[in-house]
Amino acid sequence: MTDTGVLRRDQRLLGQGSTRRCVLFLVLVVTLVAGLWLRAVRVLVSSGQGPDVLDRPHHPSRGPLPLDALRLVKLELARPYEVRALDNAESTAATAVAVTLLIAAVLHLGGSAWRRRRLVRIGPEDIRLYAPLRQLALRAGLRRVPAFSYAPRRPGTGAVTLGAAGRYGIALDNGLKSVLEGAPFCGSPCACERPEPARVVAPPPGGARNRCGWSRNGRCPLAEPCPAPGLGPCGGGGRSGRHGRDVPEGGGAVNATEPPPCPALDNWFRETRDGAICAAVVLHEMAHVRNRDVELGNAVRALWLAFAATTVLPYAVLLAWLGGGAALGAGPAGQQCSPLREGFLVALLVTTVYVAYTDILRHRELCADLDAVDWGADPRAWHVLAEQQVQRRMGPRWELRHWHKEPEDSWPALFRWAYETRLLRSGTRPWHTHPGWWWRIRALERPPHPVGGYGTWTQATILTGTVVALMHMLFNELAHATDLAPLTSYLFYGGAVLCVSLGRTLTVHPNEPVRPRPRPFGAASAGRTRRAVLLGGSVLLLVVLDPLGLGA
Amino acid sequence: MSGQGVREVVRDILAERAPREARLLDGMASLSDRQITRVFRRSRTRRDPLGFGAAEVVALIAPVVWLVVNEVAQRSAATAVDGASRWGRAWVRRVRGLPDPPAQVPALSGGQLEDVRRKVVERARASGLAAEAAEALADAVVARLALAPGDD
Repeated sequence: MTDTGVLRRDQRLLGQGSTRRCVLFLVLVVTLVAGLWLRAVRVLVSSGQGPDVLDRPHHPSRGPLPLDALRLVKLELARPYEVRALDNAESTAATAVAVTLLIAAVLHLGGSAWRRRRLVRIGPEDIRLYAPLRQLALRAGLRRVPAFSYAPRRPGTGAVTLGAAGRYGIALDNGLKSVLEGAPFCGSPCACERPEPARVVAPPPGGARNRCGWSRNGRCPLAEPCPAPGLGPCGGGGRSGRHGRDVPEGGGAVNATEPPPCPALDNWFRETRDGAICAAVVLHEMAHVRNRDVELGNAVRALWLAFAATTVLPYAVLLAWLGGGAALGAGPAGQQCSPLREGFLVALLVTTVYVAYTDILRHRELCADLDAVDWGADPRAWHVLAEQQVQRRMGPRWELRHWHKEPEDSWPALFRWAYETRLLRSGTRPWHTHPGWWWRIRALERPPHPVGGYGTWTQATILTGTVVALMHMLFNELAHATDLAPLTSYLFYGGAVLCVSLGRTLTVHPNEPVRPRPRPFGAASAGRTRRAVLLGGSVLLLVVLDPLGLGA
Repeated sequence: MSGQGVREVVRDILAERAPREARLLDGMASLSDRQITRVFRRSRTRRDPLGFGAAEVVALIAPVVWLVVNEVAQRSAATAVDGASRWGRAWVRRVRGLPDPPAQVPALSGGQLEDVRRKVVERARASGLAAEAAEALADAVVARLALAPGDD
């Protein structure tokens, strides 16, 4: 927790630019789908043609020939399906993009419904479970309490957030649910919500019949319909409605938007190991709901899965067919491009996409951790969970306290620190959607400058890399057919240099004003002329060298 | 052959030794015995992109007790009905979407109970329980299995 007098740093800097990176991720996936399908046509048609058919001295010999060159020799191609493939290349790519987006939309909107089929709902009638969850939801400041459920097939103590299009739910693991059932029960009232604050009035004659009463056995005693939104008879069914309720003098339900104070439950969350773990896990998931991570995370994941299914898999099958045929001598003779080289290039692109996807999700996890602690979760719960998860991997002599130490200023101390913290084993893997426990626990200590005002170098590198890949695909695949080849190389290299110089700025926090700052590749900010010379010189050098062969 | 249900036996043992794990078993009421067996055989569940918490099975004795008792019940069912007939009926049930009948634990002889006791100790030690706790658990399992149905 923050200390008094210490300026509270906005932990959203950790997740800054997530939305922009998501939009860029979407553009990247769409462009890669189109580009890889066009490239697949080129690879398919180029393979198996004799050298006399493809002998065009003005075209680079690296990789498959461009579509325009292949169309010039259409009548000389070996097989009829290659002509059809060439004629329909652009429409095939466009169809692949449409199918990818459609599959992503179906996965995004329907994925959570599919997963919910194996969950068991926790409703307001299960007041023993619902009351503590609702209390945590109010701590998190959620205007709309998410739907709760549990997964009988998951015996751990975790939880997961589901949902799309504004309808979210939190699914507890069965183990967490059984821990939560051990929470103290305060005889809280029915979970009816009040849109207005309570007014203390004299009780009506004949007793108060139209108000939610206190239940003493976990079940609401009232039978009439509860007008609270989403609830039927107090503790049952569902019926929407709004109303105001008057509170009789002398007690009763004070304010049904907030559960009455339950010191035993608060103590349980704060002072017991089980309660601290429950609070940490549930508040973390509620932070995901509040930060809209569910939409973002599910959308990005759906895009990734759709991209893998509609583009990566078919391309891999094509390369395997070509490579296998060449190895067995049964495939098309006279192959011009190497399936292994193609496979390596595609793997590199796919890896970049996947690393961008996991980077987006990792930073949202750190934001959710910090929000949970701000809402009252005990940071020691993370220590307990970390020890449960990593103890076996770290070995018998590892202790969590080593993660809180800083290395001293000498090489032997640094190596000793790296050994004690087991840095290689506890570090974050780039392909994981969650940060490593070492990073999570250190982030909870709120170091003063974890990322600075412009985002992390990882974010900047991935952002820059994806934009460069995007532009290369765009100019190489779509504009090469025109006679504007030298112009496209100027545009590409100019854009690449701009991206490198601006990359970190693209991750800046929305509230941070963009000012000239020291550029990543070492140029000092002083002197506009010096900066212009450096940028222009970089572009000219790249155009002259033309390492990617775009200007030929 | 009549006997005690696996779920009933395991629940009684857990209620005495680990009430929280008894609640874990209660939470699996919607699953069949076969599905529960599959859950307890897995040591780790898949991590979700927006999930948090410990994904490993944190129950210590529920998997041990369930797997041993279930194994006893399955072996008894296997000797009573031949394999092809049992698989055939299971296949028909799955095609028709019918639930599996709950497995029954028959009355066991002294030698069989000793065998069960040894298996419980082995599995409990393998899952990380101390020797004394494993022995105490094995005694509780044997004591419960030795009760005939209706002797509670």
